[in-house]
Amino acid sequence: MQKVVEIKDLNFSYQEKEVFKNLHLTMESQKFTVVLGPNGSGKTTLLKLLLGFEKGNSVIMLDSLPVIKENLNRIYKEIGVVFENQNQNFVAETVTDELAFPLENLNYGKEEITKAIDQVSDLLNIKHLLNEVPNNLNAGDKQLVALASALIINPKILLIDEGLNNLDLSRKNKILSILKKLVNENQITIIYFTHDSEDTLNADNVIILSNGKVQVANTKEEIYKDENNFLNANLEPPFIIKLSKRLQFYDLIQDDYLNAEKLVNDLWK
Amino acid sequence: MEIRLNKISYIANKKTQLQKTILKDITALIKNNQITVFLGPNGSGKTTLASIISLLNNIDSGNITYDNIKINNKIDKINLNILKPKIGFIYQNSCDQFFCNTVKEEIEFALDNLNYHTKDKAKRIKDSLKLVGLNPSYLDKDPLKLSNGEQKLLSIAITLSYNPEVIILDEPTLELDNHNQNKLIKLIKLMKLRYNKTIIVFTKDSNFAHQIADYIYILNNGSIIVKGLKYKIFKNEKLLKENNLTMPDLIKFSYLVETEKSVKIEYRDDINDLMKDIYRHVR
Repeated sequence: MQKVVEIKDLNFSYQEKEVFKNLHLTMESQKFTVVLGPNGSGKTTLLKLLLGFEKGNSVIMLDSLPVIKENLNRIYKEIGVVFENQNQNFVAETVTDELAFPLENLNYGKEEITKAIDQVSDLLNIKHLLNEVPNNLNAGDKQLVALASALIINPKILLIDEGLNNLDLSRKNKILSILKKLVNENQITIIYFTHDSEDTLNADNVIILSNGKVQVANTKEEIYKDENNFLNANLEPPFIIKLSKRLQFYDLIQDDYLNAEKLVNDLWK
Repeated sequence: MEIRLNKISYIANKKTQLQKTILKDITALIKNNQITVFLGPNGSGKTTLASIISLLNNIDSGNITYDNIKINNKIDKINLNILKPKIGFIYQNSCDQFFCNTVKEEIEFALDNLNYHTKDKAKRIKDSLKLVGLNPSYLDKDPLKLSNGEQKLLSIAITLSYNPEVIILDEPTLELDNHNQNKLIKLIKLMKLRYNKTIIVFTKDSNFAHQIADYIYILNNGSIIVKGLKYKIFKNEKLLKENNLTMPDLIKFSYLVETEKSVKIEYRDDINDLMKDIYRHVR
């Protein structure tokens, strides 16, 4: 499997505080990878390193390109980023202009821009927001607009930093399944940074960060096999896994369940 | 403190093209020594209502009573000075409020700002940190260099330092991991049980609301849709769906069993209790 991120022996300190020591990390291309970690585990720092905003002692490879100054322009053309806090990020007067902005930078023609805006607003169900002022939107809608402007350039890689936390859970789940479809059908790579274990249910692969170290990295199914993967990082497994483990302990089921409906059906056959 | 909201309304960007009614005829009773949760999706008016109860925004119509003090669209300065120190508001992005060099100065500023008189200021600062589980080594740290979770705890410590009667929290769980969320839940319950605080929480997080609420108001499109005890609210799938809210995980499981299998198991607050119920039924 092709690697989209490769980090070897990385040390990084921020204002004299050591964040990463000998960090080793790889992520697979065309997968939905969730980087899970508690507050202060280094998630945002890792994102900054991937984007070349910060520099460690060893070179990071992103989509087979070293993340160094000379390559940044090329890299930025291929990636979309949704940051945690959208409060100050919007530049345009309307959502339409905000979405056109990244494309204008890439010298797209007018027709192409209109078409792209139409497609992405359809995908994320934000057509009703197109004439609004981005900075006046509520926190959840702001995140959707930020996601739309990251997706509009058809990125090969999409990076999301706690980027959907402001959405209502029902909307967040809808968006996550849309993103999952993009990975499966359009072969994009998604790297999603979060502190919320429930988000791992949508992942292919999970990397658990804790105290600047990779606690464990594997497919989500493998990670779920041992609750300690979460507990050791001061996290809890998703609710459905917690319940599965307890039911296994009482011999009521044999395997982990990822879906509550299926679990109920099997318990009361 | 008991707070009564009586038909309050709030209009944003008045007399401009962007004029918009954010809150409409909100009536609610916030009881003393209870945890009242306003549950609502994005854009329902939660933050506006929180800042109105915290006296940071004026209402356009209706009135609010804080024990015996009644306020309406014009807040009397004298009343404001009486009420302000009694109400603590913890912002959603509370860390954006920090501007001092150290944790100690940050708490000190809050005390001075409200003219809070205490015999031993240093002790008061240390005690409020201790309440939220931060040890004295934090006193000299830079607030902006703390982790998200620690910053949230610090903003609660700042609020507790001047001992308000009412504590208002706006989306407090948003940035917190499991560990810090559990800490926050314990702290909120402690504030109610041991210190008799009136606590008002604004959130869209059903799981969190389920764990702390004594009473729930569902807020959507600037109006109160329904009010009630948590089981009544959280068992109502249709109501939750209509308001872009989700069922708490624990309730959802019992609900699924009841609707799919016609087996009635108790609605529980704790996963281990739910587990025992399942065991009894399935075995």
